[in-house]
Amino acid sequence: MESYPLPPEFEGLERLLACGPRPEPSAALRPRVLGSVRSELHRECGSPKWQFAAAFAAVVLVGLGLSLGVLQATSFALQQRPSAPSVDEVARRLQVLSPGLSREDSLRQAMLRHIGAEASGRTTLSDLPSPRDIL
Amino acid sequence: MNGPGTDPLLLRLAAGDEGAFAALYDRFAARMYRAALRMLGRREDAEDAVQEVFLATVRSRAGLGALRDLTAYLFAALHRAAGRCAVRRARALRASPAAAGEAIAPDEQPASDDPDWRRLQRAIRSLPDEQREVMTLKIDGELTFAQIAQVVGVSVSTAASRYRYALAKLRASLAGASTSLERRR
Repeated sequence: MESYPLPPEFEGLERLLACGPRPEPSAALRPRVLGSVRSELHRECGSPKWQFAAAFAAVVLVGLGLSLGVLQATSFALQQRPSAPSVDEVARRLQVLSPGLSREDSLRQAMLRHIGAEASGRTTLSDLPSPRDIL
Repeated sequence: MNGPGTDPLLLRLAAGDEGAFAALYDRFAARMYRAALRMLGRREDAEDAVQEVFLATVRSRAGLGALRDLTAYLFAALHRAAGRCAVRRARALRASPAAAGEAIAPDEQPASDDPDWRRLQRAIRSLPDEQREVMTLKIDGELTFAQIAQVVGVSVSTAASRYRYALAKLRASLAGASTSLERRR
């Protein structure tokens, strides 16, 4: 209910305006509008899933890249330093350090050290001090 | 005017129900199209504006549940869409004077053989913008003054006054034809 009544002389004119030819939208507008509404609704519904998938793929790719980088930077070849003393030399040093140690025991200890150094990929034999250094 | 969320259609729209948007189209599209056509003068522009409003409604549907007046909301969106369309058309006109023939609204209101009706349409086009705007929303949009006030951003009494001024000008413009128009009622 309008609280602003029109003067009576305008009522006829208002009726004429309201009763004139009324243009209608083309028949193609309804499917066009509802099609765009559908697309928008589906686009919005689908986007979080796609965003999650994209984020997940990005994380996997970064992880893969880092792993490959580490793999390439790491050498798995068993190495021995060329300057590493021989088993006999180590056994001799051990005997000098521990005169009570038998020849067989010192050789066994030297071999164990040698094997351990190869298995771990690092050489500790050279760290063994020479008897001359100690004496 | 309804309280917030009292229209079941609003809740369905807010939930993103596709059928609700079809119902919204059937309820409002013709009125919106007529108002847009009066504002913009071209069928293509009017249809674009209606589509723009529906897309904007989809995008902002989360807040529709709390809406008080769906009609005012839609026509306010249409008012803004028509404004943007008019700006685009003015830019196109400045950028390409060759397109001026298309850009200047040929006013595709339904043709009529009735000279009095054509005279009335010409008189409406000659109204000041703010009066024609209110007249369009009242006659083509079938809005109340309260709704028009919300759409245009003026008080209800200002909307009613503008409408009365518009009618007075139309009546004066049609002084010669009024008798024949009145006779056909």
